[in-house]
Amino acid sequence: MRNLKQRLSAFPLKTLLLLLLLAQIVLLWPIPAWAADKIQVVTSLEDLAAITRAVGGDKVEVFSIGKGYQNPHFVPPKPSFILKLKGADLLVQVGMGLEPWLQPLVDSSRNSRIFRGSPGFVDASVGVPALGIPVGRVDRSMGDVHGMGNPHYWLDPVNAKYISANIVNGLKRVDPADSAYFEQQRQIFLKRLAGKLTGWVKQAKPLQGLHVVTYHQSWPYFANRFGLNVVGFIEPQPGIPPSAKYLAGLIPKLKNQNVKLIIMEPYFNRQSADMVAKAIGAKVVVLPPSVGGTPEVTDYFGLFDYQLRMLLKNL
Amino acid sequence: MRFSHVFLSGLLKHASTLIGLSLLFLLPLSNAADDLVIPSEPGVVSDNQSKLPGSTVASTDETTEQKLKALELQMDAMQREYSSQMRKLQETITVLTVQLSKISGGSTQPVGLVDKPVDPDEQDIGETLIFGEDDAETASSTAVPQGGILSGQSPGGGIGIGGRSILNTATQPFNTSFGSLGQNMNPDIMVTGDFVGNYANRKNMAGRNRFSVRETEFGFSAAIDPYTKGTFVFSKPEDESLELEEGYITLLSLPGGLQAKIGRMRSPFGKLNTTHTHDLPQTDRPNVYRHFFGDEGIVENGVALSRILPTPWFSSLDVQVANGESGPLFGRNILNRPLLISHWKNFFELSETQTLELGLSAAAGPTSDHTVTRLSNVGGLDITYRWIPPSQFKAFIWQTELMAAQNKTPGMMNDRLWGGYSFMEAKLNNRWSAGVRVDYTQLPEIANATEMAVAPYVDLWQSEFARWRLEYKHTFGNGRVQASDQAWLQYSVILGLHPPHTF
Repeated sequence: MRNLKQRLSAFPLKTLLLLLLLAQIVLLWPIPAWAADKIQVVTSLEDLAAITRAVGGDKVEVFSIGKGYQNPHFVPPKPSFILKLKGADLLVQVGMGLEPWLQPLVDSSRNSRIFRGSPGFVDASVGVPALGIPVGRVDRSMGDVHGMGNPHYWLDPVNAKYISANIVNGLKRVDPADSAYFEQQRQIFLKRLAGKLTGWVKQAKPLQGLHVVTYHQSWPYFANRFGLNVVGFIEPQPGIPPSAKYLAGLIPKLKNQNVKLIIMEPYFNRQSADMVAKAIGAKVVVLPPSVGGTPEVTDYFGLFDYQLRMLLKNL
Repeated sequence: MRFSHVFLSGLLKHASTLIGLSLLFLLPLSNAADDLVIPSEPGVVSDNQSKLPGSTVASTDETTEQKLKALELQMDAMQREYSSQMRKLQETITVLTVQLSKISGGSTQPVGLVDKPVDPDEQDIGETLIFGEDDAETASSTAVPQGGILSGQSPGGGIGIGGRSILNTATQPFNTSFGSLGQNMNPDIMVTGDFVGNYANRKNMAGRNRFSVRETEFGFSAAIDPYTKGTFVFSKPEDESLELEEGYITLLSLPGGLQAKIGRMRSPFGKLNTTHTHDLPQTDRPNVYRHFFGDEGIVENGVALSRILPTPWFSSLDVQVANGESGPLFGRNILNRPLLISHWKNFFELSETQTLELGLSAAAGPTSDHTVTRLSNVGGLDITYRWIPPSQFKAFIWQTELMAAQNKTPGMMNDRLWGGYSFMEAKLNNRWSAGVRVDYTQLPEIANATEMAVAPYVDLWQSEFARWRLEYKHTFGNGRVQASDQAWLQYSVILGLHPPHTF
């Protein structure tokens, strides 16, 4: 008995109380009811958000973690995004290794509905005919090379048919009752896309065979669709900033290539592009790679409208 | 003053080495290449071959043993020639492969493209491309898009998840990020190297005046099943044996919005306690961490629970119950007198580009004294401000942590003490950043002793996975703290798959 008393007095009661208090807060704090009547969708990029809005219509509320003016490879993983993911019914990612920053946020979300392999998880790249799949062994001496192929596939409007199919499948999984509605919305979207695409291809006729240099290897899908011929890159390897020595070596190689335009995203260093442009007599065109990359581009159709307009203006 | 004196005298002593080094760098490169005769592998082979016939002629009655030996040498030479040729072939293949991948990645050659060349004059080109004979419609009407499986572009893409069939309509297959690396079922593997050259002008300083491989880490992480994830990090500090630094299982989504970690982990306390040594914003861990919890910070075996609180801003509460092995403040290391650690993190977005994080931490547990149970307590406050403009060319961070401790360890002279650090760091462009940290710590071991330090530093990011850092630290104080100077040249690299850094 005395022994027990001694033991009790030695036990850190204050600590125990503190522990119980904390445990109580952690366990009993009410779980908020995500009583939204709309399907909460979180996307990694604004292009996916734009397509989700188009096919989801008024049944969805969409939030994009990455913004159009950010480098999609390096989005700052703010903890506030964890809150968005926690309440999400559907998560749509670009996939193909573009978003290494996304997985830790999803892991922290405690929302198993959007974990990989759950109904609320959508990889928009499934079915997309990938370009630039590396042959043989891939390692980092090749820079930021993606084993699955080049992940900038949303820059070919034709790929929106796969992207929208994947998103609609996801929406149907989390809201089967509205399946017909999503299918119908997708048909409307694709019909409009087909009409726009006819116009874009015609509009891009002067770009056919045009020699261009791009900063990053992010434009093969776009170039492929609209007939641009990419003859070089400002980056020595994907994701590796160019050194002065590399640029000095690049310029003579490009001089007799008749390069008209240097295409770069707003988040790269303009100095390098300007330097090369001046040396080879080309123009630098800053193109937003995504919806929201410039305030005028508010949806997926606007993206190609703007990009083609900028290219033609600078010819 | 003294620092520069010592440095200069050191320079003079090593004048001969310096002259040698300068000769090495100043010699014209092309000449050096011409003069150097490197015996190549085939050269070695021919040398051996020329000796072999000679030896057979010289002695007619040689023993079988000698013959065998000669044969062995010949075999050896052949093998060397073979392997050198194979290596050359391998190199050629690698070069060609890289070139090939560049071609398919960049140019407009329609490598791997399914669409036929487009004729812009076609009237309904959009209709043809969007609604053409392609499989998009099939993809939409069945739950599993055919393309992902049929196109063969994703070795991991169509594989069922958790033993489910690919025809399961409840979920979608996905492209794994490293599909072609054949790492689908293996854990992500990471190795970090942390190379530090140290100069210090006071004796008894760790790693004084030498180059060291300060810490090597080997990390493995993978999903165990759909509900849990495992992380194991082994570290090999230079003067110690390989040890398990972290090894825990994360239960990702428990009822009630809880997440749990079970095992050995860096405890949830303050801002920098969970940061591994090679990832620290400065070369050394802030003084307050080292004096209160030891060189590695609080690393404990135990169970941790974490919950996101239902506030409009991001707010999370982490609580860990641990054995309590982290000295000098704690150290009883027994679960019926546990060490409790908690961290309450609050994150605010001030604007699109500015964020503020406020945290409160507490740790309470028995001291290492086994005869009487007495509790040490530490409370912590952390404030982090960040500015990241859209382009991310530039950035700024200002982080401060303050800790107050009630120290009950017998033999420790200061029983109420506090300490903290504050650093500011500016990212100057894509590669360079510069910062300065100030430290203030009341030492637990020495009565009325206060240690202060100022440490400016410059970082050069060679790439996302390799960082150079030059840091100078001036330490001074009152009580029995001696003034000292330290300088570090640090090179930290990451091999393999390192989890992206948390914000």
